[in-house]
Amino acid sequence: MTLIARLQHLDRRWLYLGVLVVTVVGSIWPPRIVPRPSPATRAAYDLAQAVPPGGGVFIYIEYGLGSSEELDPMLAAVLGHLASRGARIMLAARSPESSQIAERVMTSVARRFPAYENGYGQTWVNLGYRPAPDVALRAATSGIGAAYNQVDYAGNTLRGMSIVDDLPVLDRRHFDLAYAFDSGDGFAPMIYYVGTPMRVPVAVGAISMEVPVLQPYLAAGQLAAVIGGARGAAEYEALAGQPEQANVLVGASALAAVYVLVVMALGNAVAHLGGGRR
Amino acid sequence: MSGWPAVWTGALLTLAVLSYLYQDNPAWRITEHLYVGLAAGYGLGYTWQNYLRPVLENQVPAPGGWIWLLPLVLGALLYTRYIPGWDWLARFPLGIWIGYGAGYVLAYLPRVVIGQVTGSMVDLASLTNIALLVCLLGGFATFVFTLPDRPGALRTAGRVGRYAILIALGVAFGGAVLYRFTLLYGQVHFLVHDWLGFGR
Repeated sequence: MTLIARLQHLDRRWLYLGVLVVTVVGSIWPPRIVPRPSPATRAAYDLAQAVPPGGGVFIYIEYGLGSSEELDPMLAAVLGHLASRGARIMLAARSPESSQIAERVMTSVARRFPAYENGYGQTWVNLGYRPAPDVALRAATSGIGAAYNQVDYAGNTLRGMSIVDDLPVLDRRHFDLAYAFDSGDGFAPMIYYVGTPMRVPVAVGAISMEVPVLQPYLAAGQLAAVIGGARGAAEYEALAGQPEQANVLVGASALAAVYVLVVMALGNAVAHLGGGRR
Repeated sequence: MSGWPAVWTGALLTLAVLSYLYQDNPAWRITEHLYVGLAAGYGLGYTWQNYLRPVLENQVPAPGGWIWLLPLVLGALLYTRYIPGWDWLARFPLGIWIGYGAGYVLAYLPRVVIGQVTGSMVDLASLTNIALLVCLLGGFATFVFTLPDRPGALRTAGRVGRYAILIALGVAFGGAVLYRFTLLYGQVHFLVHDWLGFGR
């Protein structure tokens, strides 16, 4: 049997093994790659950079644990940047699972900033999840406290929290920026209820496979910025001067992408030389 | 290696799932059934804890809270389709559901769609904008099926549109592959670092 014929009949499990080896190598020795920021990521960074100290930022989190690998580092980078700017951050979630993610990531970011570590209710608040979350989001454009039944993620009353008193309505007068961190269609209610009618600039942090879907909204100006996937997160980390988790992730992904390209090229060459389709 | 039972459980179950890539085996089957059972149980607990219980405990007893029972009744009516002679009652919740959807679309979608339409009317001063217009018109031409004998120009435009759609789908597929790799990376990272203890 010739080499070409052998490669044509290669057991696909060898390819799976290759994926595993590449991923393990990428996990132990991740190549350090700092990507050049794309205009869309730079726009997201500039929007956050333009938030004045004490300015309001509303963050709507839609993703679950399946997308945490890509979006947690992105969320941490954005929250860290906003905290360094002294923004007041209001988090809300589209599912109970995402409200837990919001709490976990924000709490870990807050540890780096004393004003946030000890400033719950003043510098940040987690509104958590309400059944029919998009209805709650729409109601927040009339009054945030009522929309979230006057309680936060942990069931504490929102009454008396200065952040809710100072930023009572989700509109352009009170909020400088709104973010959706999204693995599905969580960006849509933000455009429908917050961006288009209330004129609050909306940015999206999305998983990489969702990025093409967002481009028409970005081009039409309905989204102000998009951070796309692990690469976008690494770009944001680079802009914020804090290369961390996403930077490692994008290095490991690049290694896997090279492996896929090599296998694709090899597979096509073998099919062409062998005259078959296998 | 980690001494935590939770880490060991996670690691062994991960390996059992990955073992399917070699071939079907009992470890994979057990994990598959465990996953389905846990997901069903978790879903039930999740719905009770996060949807039903807060409404029944906090909202129904409040003044005027009886209105919250209405969705419960409507939801229950869906199951009447299993009762011969009473199945017509299931149409009420579905009708309300579809009516709400139509109202929602009419109330909120036009502004967004008009924004998309005006967003596509661009100044043809750059190559990007020209490409946008060509792909947009080509994409439309691809889906013109009403003419029995399409003129040549429309067929050509349709072919251009088809290539544009293929490129867009290719980009989406590339994004999907990278996204799956990050999921795999997360799990491998868990095995290598949290379970085996490399780099700790």
